[in-house]
Amino acid sequence: MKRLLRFGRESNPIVFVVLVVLTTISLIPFLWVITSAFKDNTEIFGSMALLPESWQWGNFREAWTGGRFGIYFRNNLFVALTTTLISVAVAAPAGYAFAKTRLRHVSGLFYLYLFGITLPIESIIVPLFFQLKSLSLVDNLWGLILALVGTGVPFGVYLMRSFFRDLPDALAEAARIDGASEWEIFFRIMMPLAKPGLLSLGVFSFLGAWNEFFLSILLLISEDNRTIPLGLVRFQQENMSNYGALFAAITLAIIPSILIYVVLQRQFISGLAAGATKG
Amino acid sequence: MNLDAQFHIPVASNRTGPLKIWNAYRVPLTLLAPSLIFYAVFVLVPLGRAFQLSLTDWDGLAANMNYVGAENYSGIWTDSRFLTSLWRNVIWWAMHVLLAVGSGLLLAILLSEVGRGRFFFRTVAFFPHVLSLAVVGVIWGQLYHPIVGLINAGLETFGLSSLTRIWLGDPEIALYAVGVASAWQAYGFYMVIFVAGIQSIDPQLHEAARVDGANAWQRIWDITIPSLHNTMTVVLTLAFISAMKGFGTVWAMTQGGPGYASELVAVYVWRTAFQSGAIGQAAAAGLSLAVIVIVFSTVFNRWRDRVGAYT
Repeated sequence: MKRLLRFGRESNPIVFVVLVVLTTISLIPFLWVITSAFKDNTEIFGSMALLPESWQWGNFREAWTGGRFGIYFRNNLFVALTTTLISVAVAAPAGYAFAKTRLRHVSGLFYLYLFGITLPIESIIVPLFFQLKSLSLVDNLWGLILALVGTGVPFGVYLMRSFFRDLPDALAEAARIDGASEWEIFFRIMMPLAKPGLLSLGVFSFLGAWNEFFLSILLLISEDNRTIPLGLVRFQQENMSNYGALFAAITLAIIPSILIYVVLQRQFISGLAAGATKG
Repeated sequence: MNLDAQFHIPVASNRTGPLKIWNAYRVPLTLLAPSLIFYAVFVLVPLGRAFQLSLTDWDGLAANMNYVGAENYSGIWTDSRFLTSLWRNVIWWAMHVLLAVGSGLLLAILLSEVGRGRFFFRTVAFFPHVLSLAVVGVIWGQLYHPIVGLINAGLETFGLSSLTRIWLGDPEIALYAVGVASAWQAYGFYMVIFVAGIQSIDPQLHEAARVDGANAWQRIWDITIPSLHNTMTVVLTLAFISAMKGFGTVWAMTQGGPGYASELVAVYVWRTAFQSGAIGQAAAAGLSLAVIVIVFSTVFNRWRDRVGAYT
């Protein structure tokens, strides 16, 4: 962080004010939703006051049990964790192979993955649905997980490749001279060194799966299989008049994403920047 | 992207013939196999199947399907509903560029000029981007709510009652209202990419300009902005792709309505396939979108690289 502060050491007050205004814009909806979650309907309709007159914790109870957010939370966590583990396990070896192999055909294959990054999932959603249906994977959390891993592979491999490329070859060369097999080099030397990259992809996959909506809305049907994004949208449609509970439900949906981000933001941001700028 | 310069795993074999080739490819192919299987099963096979379906009149239920040639393609490309939905995606792109890319760039530049609180501002500005599009949609659905919504309430508080609207129920406004929500979700993302771009600028350039007496504005205009050429290419491409794929916020807020007023191509594909059962037509629309995205990204990047070579 120190290095970043090198230029621009003198703070211009105007710059500071504009920054405050712009960040407030990003915060206002959050503040409004969270404070409204503690209000009852009369207050939500009647007043512009920031803080509620009496704090309605019952809204959260209503959202958690009535909205069945407990179930959604469990489903979401299962989908996100499983998708993350499989994605990292699948993408890391492939990224390593692309980063360190000198075979022309293998590197040509990399273009196929680059193509996958640009390909909009909208173009395959229709056959993907029928394919998963024929495998009895529709309305099944595993169907969503497998589809998320599959559609996430191109970016994951691309990201892992850029991390492995930055690792020095000297260690691998030394181990090779000492008689280590390619597998030992990969598992014992390269994987531990790539830990920041693995963590980065992990956070990325986790948040992506945690927030997923496009595939979930198509693939998950019954109430017991809903994730938080799905559950929240349905809750909004089904509770047109109970605003306090809806705001509490939105708050419950916001908290985990923000927490994960705040705790792991370094990994997330570095993965994001690497994905966007490295070649 | 230089692929050929990076290969390091030596071919550890002194045998000859097919066995030698197998030995050379054994390790990389085993490493690649799991990802290839997932990619093939869940992306490449459906992609081929999408093309196949786009040439049929399948309704999603019937046991057999008829081959109809390019009929679905000529159908959608003369269908004003599809063309209008595509045009809405272009409007979304413009909104993303103006609102999200614009404020992302502004924020990133301001962050590079501020000494204190940089970490805090960056963290907070990124908050909207870590939310699910569904959550963003529901939040903004409430902000736009005609009665309890903060936007109408705020306008009334400031004596601007004449500007209050039924935002999402008005066909003239719904698309833009949802576009604002989507831009709110995206600007922190572009900011982070710009910040990374600005950090990679040689600080000595700024130091030298300072010594020469350039003010902050001149330094930003003459050093920072031109140095961000490649970053800008990336950001504009990503903004295009994300605007073309727009779905989540729309689905959570208006489901494409009122009527077709906020229907983007992805929503068109969804409705056509899973509500109208016109599978072939939906597949053709989805593939058309893919071609647009890939062709644009490629051509735009080539053009930006050529332009960049002279700056």
